[in-house]
Amino acid sequence: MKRISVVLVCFVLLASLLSGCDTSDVGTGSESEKTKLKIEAWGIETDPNSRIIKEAVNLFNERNSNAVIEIEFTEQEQYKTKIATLMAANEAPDLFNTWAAGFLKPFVTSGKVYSISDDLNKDSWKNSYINGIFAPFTFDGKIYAAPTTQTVACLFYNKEIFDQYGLKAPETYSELKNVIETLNKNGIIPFALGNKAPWVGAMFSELVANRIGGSEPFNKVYEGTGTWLDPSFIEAGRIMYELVEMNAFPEGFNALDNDPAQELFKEGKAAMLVMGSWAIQQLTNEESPLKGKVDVARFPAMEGGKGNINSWLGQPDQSFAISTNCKNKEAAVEFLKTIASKEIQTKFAEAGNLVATKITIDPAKSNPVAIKVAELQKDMEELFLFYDVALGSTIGNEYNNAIQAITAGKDPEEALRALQEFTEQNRE
Amino acid sequence: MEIMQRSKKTILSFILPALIIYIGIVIIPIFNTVYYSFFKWNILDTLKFTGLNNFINLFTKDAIFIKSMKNTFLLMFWSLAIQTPLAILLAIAISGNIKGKRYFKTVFFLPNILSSVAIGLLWSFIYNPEFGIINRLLSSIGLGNFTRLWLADEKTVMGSVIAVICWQFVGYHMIIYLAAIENIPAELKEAALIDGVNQNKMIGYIILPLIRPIVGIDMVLMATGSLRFFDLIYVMTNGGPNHASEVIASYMYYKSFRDYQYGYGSAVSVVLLTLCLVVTFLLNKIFQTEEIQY
Repeated sequence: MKRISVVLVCFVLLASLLSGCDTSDVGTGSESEKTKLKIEAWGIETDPNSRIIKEAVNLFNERNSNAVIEIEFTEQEQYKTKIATLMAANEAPDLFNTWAAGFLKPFVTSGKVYSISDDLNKDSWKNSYINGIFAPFTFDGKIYAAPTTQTVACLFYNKEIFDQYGLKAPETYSELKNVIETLNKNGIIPFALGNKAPWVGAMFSELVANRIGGSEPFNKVYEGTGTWLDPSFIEAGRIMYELVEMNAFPEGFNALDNDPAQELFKEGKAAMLVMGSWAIQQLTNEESPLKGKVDVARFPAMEGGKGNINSWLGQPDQSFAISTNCKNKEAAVEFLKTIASKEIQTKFAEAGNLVATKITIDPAKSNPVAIKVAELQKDMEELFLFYDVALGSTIGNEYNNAIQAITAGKDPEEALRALQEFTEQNRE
Repeated sequence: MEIMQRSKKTILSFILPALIIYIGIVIIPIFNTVYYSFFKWNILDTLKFTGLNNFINLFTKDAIFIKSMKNTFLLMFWSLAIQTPLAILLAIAISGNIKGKRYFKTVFFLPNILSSVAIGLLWSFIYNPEFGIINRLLSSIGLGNFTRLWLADEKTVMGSVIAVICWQFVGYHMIIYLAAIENIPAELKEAALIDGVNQNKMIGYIILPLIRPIVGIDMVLMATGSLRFFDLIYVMTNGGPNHASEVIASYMYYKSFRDYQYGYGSAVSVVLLTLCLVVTFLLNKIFQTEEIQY
């Protein structure tokens, strides 16, 4: 008798499990006239930008009669692993967030990504975007993703401190050196730079290298026709160490995290900060003691350098790509257009982003620092990519490590030679 | 009971579930890893057979791997050299009838029950050059010259990490030795005392020889544990700065899960597996003794 009751209980449990599956099946069936599209996005759901993307999803779901979109957010680092795993298992979501160049490339070469070139050329959709922004999404002449915003590395400075000591934003390296000397004399840290995660100092060095040698040396490394031993990289390394020796960075900056370093800038203990435009919101929000005191400038030129002061380091950001598995590509393209629409792009701009499309922003509603960056960018002649974005994480991270080692006192030529060896071994 | 032991089927039916799980998540993956180590594979494309290339590159071209191997051996050597004697000394010290025995036992064992992530964060704060207590203490007693960027300086990072590892694990090994010492029959000690043995001779002639097999086992545990050490490195330094604290396990992790070079990462883990086996074999040879009979 007992045994029978046990079997019965098991059976009931099993049946309830199965029926659980059943009901969910019925659920999808009832909306069969609309295709369900799944988006994998990075970020945290409550981030300002994630909210705007969610608004775009809602807008799309209201307007589109063929498809309904579902979106899932994952924290950035985990997102990288998640998307790679999904791709490998051939379970790519219909649309997904992607970084430019190095991150997207392996997915494109293995045929997982749908090219949006034809769609972009239809109805001159492409012209609504900023010129040249598609270059890092182009492989073999075809475009594979569309950006939402862009981020560029900016030189932020504290207006109050600069006024106090009669300084102005440096336009050349020697002017910069004078600024550093004056600040040091007055007990103010020149640059708030926390290089524990080595991308921070690497970003700085990429600007220096570009001002010295222009974009050509890096492009040659990228194509495999040049090496890291180009004089401009060595000189950039030397200058990074020169800055260290001049005490341009906080004491122990190689052990300092980026966030506390940024705090130094916010609290007025440091006068300058080289950081991506993503920091604008944090620096200027209501709680920030810096609100109204931040100004922004172009990174200074190097005397005798080949680089142009109107070259900006950055990347097109929060870009979306469509996978080849996507069940309804038309609808997916429609979503990309929703993201690029004036109303969504305006929201991004008002939240302090630099947007990817050519829209005019109402200065009253937008962040003054973001507007200043946008103004400076009007003369932009070139957007060169963060090295770790362009080269992908393997070689990119190694570049960051090499620069960190140089700032800790390693001979630039030696560090770059090791980097060159690494690059040759790890090139795909 | 007897019937159950006699029937092999019954025994099998008890072992089988665990065995299947074990084979599925340990044995098969090990063979898979060995298999993948002969390929170039980024999990997206198809596998490309490259023979022994991964291994040749590891040992002849990959400076970072060589560095991580050096660091791993450094870690193993210092773990053994510091922890073994220290753990034995502590165990002997608190095995007597001293006051506060349970207190000391708990204190020394405490780091072991904390999660490694918590320990990593804790020590990152202690080592912090700005507000960490080490640098503060040094400068407050006039030794400001000795302050360092402990975890950010290529010269000090490995030593700093090893110190934390020893602090974390010495209590664990102490407990093992303590159990071994307390297992020594009281008659032996008494007999020795009657023969007029002093404290030092007691340690040298009675305790150490009798816990020798345990020392062997414990050293194997310690050595293999340090060879595949990962968590504190990951939390405290991420292998940096500039790979100065990279160990084989962290390098394997980065190669596989950050750079998506699964074949190469597999080759690293095969090397690690081989090393663990070789070290275990060697230590077992060294400590091979007859079973002790009291």
